[in-house]
Order: sequence, then structure tokens, then C-alpha cells
Amino acid sequence: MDIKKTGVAGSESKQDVLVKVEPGQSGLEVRITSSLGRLYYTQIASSVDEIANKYGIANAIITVIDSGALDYVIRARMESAILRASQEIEKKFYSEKREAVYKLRRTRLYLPGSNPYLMQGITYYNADGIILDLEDAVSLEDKDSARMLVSYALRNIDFGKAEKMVRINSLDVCGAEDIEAILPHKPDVILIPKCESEYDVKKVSEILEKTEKRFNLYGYQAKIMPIIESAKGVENAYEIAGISDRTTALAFGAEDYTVSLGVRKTEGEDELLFAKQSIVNAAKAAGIQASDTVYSNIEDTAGLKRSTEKSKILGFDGRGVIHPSQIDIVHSVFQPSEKEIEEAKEIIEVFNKAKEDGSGVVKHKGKMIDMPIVLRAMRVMSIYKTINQE
Amino acid sequence: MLRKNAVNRDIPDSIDNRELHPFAGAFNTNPIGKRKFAPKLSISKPNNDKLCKTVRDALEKAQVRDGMTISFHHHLREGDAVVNMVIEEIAKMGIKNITIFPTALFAVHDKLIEFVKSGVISKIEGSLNGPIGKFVSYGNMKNTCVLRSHGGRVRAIESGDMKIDIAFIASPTADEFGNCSGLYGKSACGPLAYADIDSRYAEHVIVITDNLVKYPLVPHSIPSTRVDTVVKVDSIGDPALIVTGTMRITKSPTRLLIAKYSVDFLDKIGYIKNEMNFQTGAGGISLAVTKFMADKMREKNVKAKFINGGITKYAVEMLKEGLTDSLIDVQSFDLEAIESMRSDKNHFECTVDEYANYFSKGCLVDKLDVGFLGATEVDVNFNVNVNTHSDGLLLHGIGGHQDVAAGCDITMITIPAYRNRLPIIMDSVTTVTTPGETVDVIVTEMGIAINPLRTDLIEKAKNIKSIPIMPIHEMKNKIEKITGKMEKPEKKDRIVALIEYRDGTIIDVVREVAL
Repeated sequence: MDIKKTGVAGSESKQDVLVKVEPGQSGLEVRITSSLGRLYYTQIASSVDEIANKYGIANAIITVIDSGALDYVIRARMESAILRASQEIEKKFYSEKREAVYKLRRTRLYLPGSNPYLMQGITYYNADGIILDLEDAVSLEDKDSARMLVSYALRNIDFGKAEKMVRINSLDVCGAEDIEAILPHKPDVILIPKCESEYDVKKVSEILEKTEKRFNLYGYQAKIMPIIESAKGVENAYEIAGISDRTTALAFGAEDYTVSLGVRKTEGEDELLFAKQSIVNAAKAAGIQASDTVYSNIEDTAGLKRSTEKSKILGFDGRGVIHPSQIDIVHSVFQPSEKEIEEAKEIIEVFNKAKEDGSGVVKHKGKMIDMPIVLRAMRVMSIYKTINQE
Repeated sequence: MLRKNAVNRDIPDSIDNRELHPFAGAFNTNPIGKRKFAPKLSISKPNNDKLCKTVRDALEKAQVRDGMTISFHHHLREGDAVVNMVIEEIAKMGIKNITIFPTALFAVHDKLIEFVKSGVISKIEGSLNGPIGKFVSYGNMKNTCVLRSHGGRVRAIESGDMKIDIAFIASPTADEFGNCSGLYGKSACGPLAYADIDSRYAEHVIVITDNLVKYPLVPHSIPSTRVDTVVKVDSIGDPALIVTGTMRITKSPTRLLIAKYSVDFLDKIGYIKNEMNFQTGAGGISLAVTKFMADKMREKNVKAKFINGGITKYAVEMLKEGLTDSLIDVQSFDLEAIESMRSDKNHFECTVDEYANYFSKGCLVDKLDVGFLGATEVDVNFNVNVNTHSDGLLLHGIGGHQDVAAGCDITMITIPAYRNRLPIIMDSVTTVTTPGETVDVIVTEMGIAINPLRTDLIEKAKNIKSIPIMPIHEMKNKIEKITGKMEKPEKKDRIVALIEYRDGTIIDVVREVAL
């Protein structure tokens, strides 16, 4: 590949690296400076060489200004810079196998897809899901390098027990390119922003189908979580929830929703009640989960707790979080209370006993117990057991 | 000739005409039969006028000469104006080749570099921080520097290894007879614990204050019996930098997780109970640890006997809430701590001698249950480096690290697994500050590694499921997988600094770094 113009990717902020690829005449000229002096010089140089070779670059001036970036970040920035310099978009990824497993979905943590410093904690955030965001957190001119960094992050970072999630852009922005770039790295869930109709989900589902086939991703199927964030979306919530069997949960986005209503968010969240109940009802009717909107005031932990308690009452299975410090608070709310656990244990016990005895009537504390109550008790116990395995 | 010491470092027989003793193990050096050094006797007469109008007058009265050793304390931290003021005056007088002997230096003291270049200062025995450390690391100091722990510095003075010619004691309030207090005045800093030993052993003691009051100043930390001269100046420092505003707990999720693991671990092994005690500080993770300790103690309804160390408002709140019987304060970091010390009879000042001196009949660190400490590096033998960075540059002092580690029951090193790309755990640390035999537990966001010497802790931690507990080699490999393996920095043979252990033996040397 010939480098005909200059391509730059990355930044000089902490744990990132700035890579500049320029046309050159006589071979590869690599200039490396690092905040860590020469302690990683050889490794940085070899990663730069490796990526340059992969693209068959014979002549170029490559300037690397490192601020303590990990190897995967260096490689991602290097590839982005080359692609920006050549304007060629090539698929050169290899993916590793990872089975998507069902997880608790109490929290899904948003992290900007462009910031390696915030990504370093992914292994240790105990959120149930981690969303690498390509949409609102990334500026238009950085979409390509964020896509590359997210691809590398999906492949290189240990997500622990958390589901790997990516929020792509709307299809009318660059959602299709996002899917194209990240799917080979097998994210568990794709979040579709600003879903207004079943068509939005159907289209994404088709692209996922095609892309999975094209990359031969056998045995892997990306799940979908549509985010409803407009009045129209709320009206179409049931159709959105039901159109694709990839859809695993509906999420709510309150910021844009209030704009579409022409109202402001208030402390009591009265303006959100209809949307929240509609979304929970649509999701449950379609047999999937519902995830509430984020709570945007990071400082107000008491407010977060109150709001989350309300989410739980309304029937949400969890919510979005925008800072790791919110995770434990949300988890503590969705953790079944001791009373709930006690009650669930008793119900399952009397149910089992009634089954053994062949009795058709199940009673607990004088009240008749029917099947939905037993199922709810079983769900409480299964959440409790999953949490206590952690 | 070089000899290997007990942590496998090569120590020369002598340097700058000083005979060196290699570190022999944490408790294997004993000054049996030796006596303390003593300064000359003085007399006290009526109408003894100690006041001097200027620093120059005071220096002349003290008969400052080439080659003298001049000491300072660091209670004024980044706000200190005294060290720079005194050295500038000494330079103006044409004095050369002095040794400065501070309890610690800060970035505000970068100015000293020009006085090293001009030959006014030829040696520093004390912490070397930031730019001065860098300057020394590149081989720019004529003599070899010596770094000591807080307790080790007291020991060096008492045993006569370090003879102080003139001690400057910056005092936020003093009377004309030399009684000193750090509790009052615009430059209030709390205790004057670091200066105590200098006031006892220096040949000549100069108190420098910006708040001169009428005798008698009571209560006081340092009495008039040890003071030769009192100088009044306009300002001894910048109050905004002497104490920081309200210190904030780290927001970094990984650091919070480290603090949480530390407290949870202590809880699970049964250390959070009535009459417990611990040492805390003001570093990033320390504040979070203090807060989480308070939360846990409240939850379990237990009360500590004492909290010791650098005191912040978080510890003060624990005293007020009744979560601890007392605070034992070596340095106060914020206004809340100073105010508490003024008003609460259960908030005590503790001299560094009482806090950390190994050559004494009993110092506080030996009564500690838990000490939370930091590090720049740790190795698989649990040796800790707090002095140099992985590139070999000398950038930090020892503080109380060696003393607390040696004394307390559980020494916990709380550190992120890697900073930028630099791994924290390695095969062998760049510089050994604190020997592994005194370090018990390493806590990173990856989990906890326990020193194999502590079979009791390993046994107690056997059933912990909520915190990943792993051998240190495993933790090292995990970190290295993320960061990649680091290369070794290029070093020269010349020794630029000695790292003294708290007993006066040499635990490691710092070599010149190639530019």
C-alpha cells in the first residue's frame, strides 16, 4: 500500500498514543518518543513495524508520541492512522471465539469508545454489561478511529463476567460501518440508538445477519438492545420489541425523549412515567427484559438510589449507568431484599412439598399460591444465586 | 569492595570516607553498649535577649561557616518559604559546601538546584523529590546523598551519625523566648513533630516565625530551653499550600476498588474489631481507605483505640463520631485536623522519636495493627521501592515507610496494578526501600497477594471468595500480560545516593542514570 497523504490518529492524553503516518521516499522511517523513556521502545517499534508490514507499507514516515499506551491501543491507533492516510478500508481482523451467555442486566455502563484511559478499568468494573459507545460520546471526525479502538478493545481486554456491548450509530449516520468493523470481534449485544420503529431494528438485524455470514462467524449471533428515546418510539415499543428474535431487551433513553415531548426533566420524573411503563409493558409482552435510562447526576447518590428504587417498582430489570461509582448503588437496589429471599425460599418449599404430596392446593401463610407467584419466587432465587456466585 | 546485603544488593565498604554496614535483616542490628550523642551544655540567664531582626543576624550569631550541616523540618510542605530564604541568605554570605539535612523536600525547593550548581550546597541528607531528585540522579551532586526514613533520621541524630550545626525551626507561632507551636497563626500547620529531635540535638537552634507573641506561649510543642535565637519574618510560607483545602477522595474506580478490597480483606480476617488501630495517610488511596474503614466500623458497631499518621478531616470525623478513642498525629494535612488538635483533648501530637525510632525503648509503630502504605514498585520477594521510578530516577523520599512496615502487624501495600504502562510488580525492584520480610499484603485492583511468610494470614484468608487472592507470581504475570515486559534503563556505575535502613545499615544504593 502506498501512503499518499498524512494520516493521524490517537491523542497525547494519558494512556493514549498519537500516531502520524506521512508519505516518505526511502523505506520506513519510524520516530518514537514515549513518556516512559526507552522502557518500552523495542516493543512499540516492533508493533509499529508489524502493522506497517501487514498493510505492505514500504515508504512512509511514522511518528509515534506515546503517553503510556498499552500495546492494543498502539496497534489500533497505528491502523487508524494508516487507513486515514490511505483512505482504504480493509478488513484485516481475526476474531476469537466467545460464547454469549445470559447475564444479569442490573447495570450497563457507558464508556466512550475513543478513550483508552477509561477502558483500562473494564476488567474490574463489576457492571453486568459494559457499553463501548460509538455514538454520542464520539465526535463525527473520530468515528473511524473509535471504531478501530473499540475493535481492538473487544479483542484484547478481559471483560470478566460483563457482557460486551457496543452502542453503534444510527444507520443514517454510520451504523452499518460500525457493525462491519466491530462484529468480527463478537460483541454480545449491539445497542441501537434512537429506535423509532420496527424498521430500524429489522434493518440492523439484516445487516448483522449478512455480516455474520460474510465473516463466517459460525455459532455466534449478536443480540440487539434497541434504545427508545422519542415519543414515536414509545408508541411503537411493542413492535420494536417483537420484530427480531435477536432482541434481548428494550432500553429507555430519557434525555432525547424529554426533548421530543418538549418538557424538562424533573426531580420526581413524572414526565417519564408513561414512557417507562409503556416500555416495560411492551418488553414484558414480547418476553424480553427492560433496562431503564441513565441517571445523569453523578454526585447525587441519594437521588440515584431513589430513582432506581422506582425503576425496580415499575418492572425494569436494570438501568444504564454513566460512572462506575453508580454501579454498586444500582446493584444494591436490584439485589433481592432478605425479606424477598426468605419469602421466595418458603414459597418454593411449600410448592415442592405440595408437588410431592400430590396436593393441588398450594398455600403460604394462609394465602393461595398460583403459578406466576412460584415463577417469580424462582426468579428471585436465581438472581440471588447468581449474585452470590460473584 | 562490594558486599551483598540481606536483600541481595551490592553495597560498597565505604563511600565519601564513611564506613558502610550492609543491611542484615530488619531486626538484626543492635547498638549494644553505645551511648547517645549529646550537644554542648548551655546556660540560661535573666534578660537573655534571643530576638534577632533578620535571618542574616541569626546566621551570624550562630557563626555559620563553610561545611556546616543545617537542618529543616517539612511541616510547611509545598507552602514552605524558610528553606529557600535561609539558603539564599547563606549564599549571599559567601558560605560554601554546606550539607542540608531536611526531614523532607518538596517541589517548592527546586530553587536549591541553583545553589548546588554554585557550590553552596554540596550534599543533601534527606528526601529528594521531583526535579532535585532528577538532578541528583543524573550525577550532578558532588557528594553522595543519603536517604533515611523518619525514624531512621531520629536514630542518625541520636547516635551521632548526623551532627546538626544549625537547626532552623519554622514555627507558625513562637514567643520571644523560643517556645514554639504549630497550632496558631496564619501559617498554622498542626504538630511540630519532625522538628522535635532537631531542637534537642542541634548545636544551635534558630526559631523562625511570622507570628511572634508575648511569653509564655502555652501549650507549646518545643520549649524555650532548647532555643538559642528567635527571628521574626513577614511570612514563613503560603498558608494555602501549607494545608490543602478539603482533600477529596479519589474518583478513580480502580483506586476505589483497591481501597474496598483492603478494608474487606481486613474485615474477612477478623481485624475490624473493638480496640483495633491503624495508620493512615493523605495519599490518593489512603483517604478512600480511611473512609471505607469508617463505613465498615460503623456497620459493625466497633470502635478503634487509635488512628495514627498523617491526619486529615476523614480521621477527624471518625474521632468526632466516636469511631476511635484518639488520634495520634505526626502531621496534619488540612485545617480540620489543625482545628481538631486545638480543641479536642483526644487528638495528640506525637514526636517522630516516639512514632518511629528503632533505637529507642519502644516506638508507636510497634503497637500498630495495620499500616496502609504505597509504593512505586514491589517485587516477587515483597521488597518495596518507594524511592525510584522504573526508569531509575530518584523521585521520592522514604517517609515512614520502613518504620511502619517493620512495626505493624499487617503491612498492606495499596497500589494500582500498573501506572501508565509501567507494571507495579516485577522480579526485582529497581531500588529496595523496605525489605520484603516486613511487608505482608499487596493489594491491587486485580486482587490480593499475601507474603508466604505470613502463613497465619494465608490460613485466615483461605475461605475468602469475594476478593481474588493469588500468589504474587500469578499477579505479576497477569499484569505483565497487559503491559508487556519492560526493558531495563541504562545506568552508570557511580553511586549517587544511599538508601539507609532505619537501623543505619545500607539496604540499597542508587546509581547514576544515563541521559
